[in-house]
Amino acid sequence: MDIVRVVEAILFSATEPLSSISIARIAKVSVKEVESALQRLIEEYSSRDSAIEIVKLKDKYLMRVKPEYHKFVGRFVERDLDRGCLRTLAIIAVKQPIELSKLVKIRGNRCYEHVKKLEELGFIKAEKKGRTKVLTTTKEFAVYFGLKTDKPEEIKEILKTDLEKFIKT
Amino acid sequence: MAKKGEIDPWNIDVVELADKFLERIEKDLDLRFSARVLLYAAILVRMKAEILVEEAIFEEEEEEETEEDFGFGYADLDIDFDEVLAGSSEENLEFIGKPKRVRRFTTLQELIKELRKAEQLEIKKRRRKKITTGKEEIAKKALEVPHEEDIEETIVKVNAELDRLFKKKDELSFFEIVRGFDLGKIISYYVSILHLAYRKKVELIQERLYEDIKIKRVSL
Repeated sequence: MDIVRVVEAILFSATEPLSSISIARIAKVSVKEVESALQRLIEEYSSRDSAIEIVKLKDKYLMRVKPEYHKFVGRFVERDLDRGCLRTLAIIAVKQPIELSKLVKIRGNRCYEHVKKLEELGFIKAEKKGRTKVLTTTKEFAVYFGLKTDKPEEIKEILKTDLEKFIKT
Repeated sequence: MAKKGEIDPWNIDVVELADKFLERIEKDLDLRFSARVLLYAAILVRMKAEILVEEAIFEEEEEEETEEDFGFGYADLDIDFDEVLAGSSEENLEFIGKPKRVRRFTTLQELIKELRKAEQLEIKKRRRKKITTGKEEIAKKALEVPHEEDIEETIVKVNAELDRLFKKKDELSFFEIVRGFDLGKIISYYVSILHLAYRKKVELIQERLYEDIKIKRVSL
């Protein structure tokens, strides 16, 4: 069986992002083979005029509907980030670069857990600064939310504009 | 007390602590000391209450996830359950009974929605902080007032004034003494007279709360 199609079938059926190691385990092939199949699939989907795309989030892959079509499929999907985590991410995105100590003042002690999870998902990166950490969003964050830029300043502007629009509606 | 091993700092019996505190201030009554202890205790309780309230708000905000928040629910699915049951093919029944496997991802719109909620929460917190800061400022100012510098001087002055008045009368009325004084001076006189009573220079009698205080010289 064509390994590319096997990987495609697995990604289509999975509800969460999968690592190449997990896919290899399911497909019973080597990680190397999976990675080359994934590369081909990503190229295939990006060259095709499709509503579906495959995104890489840190070391995991997710097949999903492109962000511009999200509003049509809302009833068929569930959020993969809990509310607390999402709110922490929203604050980091709009106030970046933000020190972890400042974030704690805004979000409370629970945000340590959120930051850990968001780092694992690859949405944010933390750089050490003295005794604290400075948090910023990553390229994966921009890809995941369908933003055209991954520059912190531009992301902040986009979010502020979108927030204003949201308030008006 | 903790150092002496009289109390366990991780498990404080408030009643026992209050009793010991009362015992201590009865032995060595200093109104300035006890008032400050009360103030600090009130500030500590308030700080703790604020932390608890904030934690509760975070929890409340994060736990109120409803079906509506996902923009998804069985009501939205446009299914006529009666019709499905009437048709009652095995396939349809299976659809109702099986848990739904759905794709999971978060949209930018949801991120913006959370941003809006975070913004509203921050405004609420800032308002609350403003009120708290105002109250803390008053407490800070109260602590900054140099009460201790001239209290002895005032006690001596009030004692001399009482001596002069006791020459005319054996029993004085506090209200009569302070009549026409401004609030600050009334408080200085009141505190001085309390100190004189503690030093057993005068005897104070107040029959009812908020009513006049009778002052008598203690005969040695």
